[in-house]
Amino acid sequence: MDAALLLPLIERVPSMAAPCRSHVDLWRIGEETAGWARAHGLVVGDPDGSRVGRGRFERLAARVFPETGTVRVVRFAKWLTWLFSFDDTLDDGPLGRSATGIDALYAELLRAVRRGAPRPGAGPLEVTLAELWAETVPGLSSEWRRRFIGHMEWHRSACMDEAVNRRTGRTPSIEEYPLLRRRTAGPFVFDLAEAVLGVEVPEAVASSKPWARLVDGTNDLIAWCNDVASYAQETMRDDPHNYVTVASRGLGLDPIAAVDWVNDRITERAIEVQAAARALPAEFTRKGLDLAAQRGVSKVAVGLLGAPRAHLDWLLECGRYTPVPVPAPRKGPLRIAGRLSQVTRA
Amino acid sequence: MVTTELQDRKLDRAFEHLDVDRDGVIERDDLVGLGARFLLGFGEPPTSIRGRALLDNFDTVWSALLSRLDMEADSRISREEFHRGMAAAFIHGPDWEPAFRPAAQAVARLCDTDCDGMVDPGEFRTMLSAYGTAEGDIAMAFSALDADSDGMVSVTELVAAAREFYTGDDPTAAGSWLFGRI
Repeated sequence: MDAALLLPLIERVPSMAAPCRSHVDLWRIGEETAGWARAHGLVVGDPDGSRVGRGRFERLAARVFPETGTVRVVRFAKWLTWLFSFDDTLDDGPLGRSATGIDALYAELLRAVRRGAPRPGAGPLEVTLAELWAETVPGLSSEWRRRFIGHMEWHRSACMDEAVNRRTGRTPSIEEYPLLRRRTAGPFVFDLAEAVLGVEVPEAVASSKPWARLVDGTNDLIAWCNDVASYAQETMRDDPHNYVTVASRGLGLDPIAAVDWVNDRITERAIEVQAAARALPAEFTRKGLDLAAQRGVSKVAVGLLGAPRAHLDWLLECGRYTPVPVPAPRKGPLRIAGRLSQVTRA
Repeated sequence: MVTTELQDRKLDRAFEHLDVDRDGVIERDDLVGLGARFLLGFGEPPTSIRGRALLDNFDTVWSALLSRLDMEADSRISREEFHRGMAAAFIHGPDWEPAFRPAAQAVARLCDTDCDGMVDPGEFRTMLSAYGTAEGDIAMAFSALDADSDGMVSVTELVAAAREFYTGDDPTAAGSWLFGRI
């Protein structure tokens, strides 16, 4: 099972029917992002040897923001690299089962953000977060910064909730999972659209129901598609935090039927997101936005509307969720001895 | 390229549709902003068939305009240059059919949300609101275009009205009222 199971969505979901444009500087964005990740220790050694290295996040950033200045798209690709590195830190080690460990890590990360600098000797996640924050926030209001940090806190508590579930062997219910998943998906990333496009959504609009529906719905579409693509890997780790797993266990479906069920939810959610988008112009008028402000906020909203297909295209071509061939398990000393003897003969 | 006083007034309006920050110049990002506002009004993402068509065809219009002014893709266009480029490309030049008509069709098809070939007053209002047209002018424009008063304007009529607005010189033509009073 892999991202190919999402392909029917291209025909079923009109809002995901056309491929995204991509940025003309894709190659440069990739080189700069990869170089930065290596230089800061987020990717160590052969990039193809780690999930974050195989992520090629520039391919996602370049599709979400195909018209934006290269420097800003590079920065967004770095943010994506940071988020997925953080996720992998939790997924691949014991930290993912320790709520107190996550809480402590996140506390240091947020202190670095507030301080504007990492601690001496801090690890790659803290160093890169402080750097990205310092590069991103100039020109952005205190309201935007509060919203972003609030979403990081949201992410922090959700990661801790997941750790408790992993430690206790609990699978989230089908009712509670969508909200949990929305929080673990890194909701602050959606705030970055404003920073990338250089357009801040006025707080009156950002706090409105139509805007929340647009952002939450977009987050859901991306997270649920990601769950379908990553199902095999999460199953191998016995991690229950995947919509396919939750549907399979909650509804008694086999995995393929559970994927179909998730794809149905994605199809329905896409319609709701479009309805939220249509409600926004009236909200602009109610909140007194002039025409220039409306056009600017529309760019942010349309960037979000295109993100699910951008993410789908990225899922289909990146190697992040492609299972890496695992050597066959050793069967006993005889086989090892055989190999050793071959080496000796050579 | 000579333009009439009526054409100049309509081109001024078209320039103001794009120069919403009133800095006296337009650039590609202004066209992107108009496209985004269109898409949002209809809840259409840039990754639907109709949304992608709109953006691609807007790019074609921009390229045609710049090519007549011998400019690069990221150039800024003043009001005077806009008049000159529009006249050279679409009023007197050959670029209407290959460049502007597809863009006008993409906008009209976006308005036709139920794909019945007709645009109703609500869909028309959504379109003109994206341009910043005042409510009174929207009603006036719809009445002018709805020749048989059946409460609908066909997609074909809307495209023809766009051609009349951007290139025509007949003050009595319905298309000259596409955005209300000039």
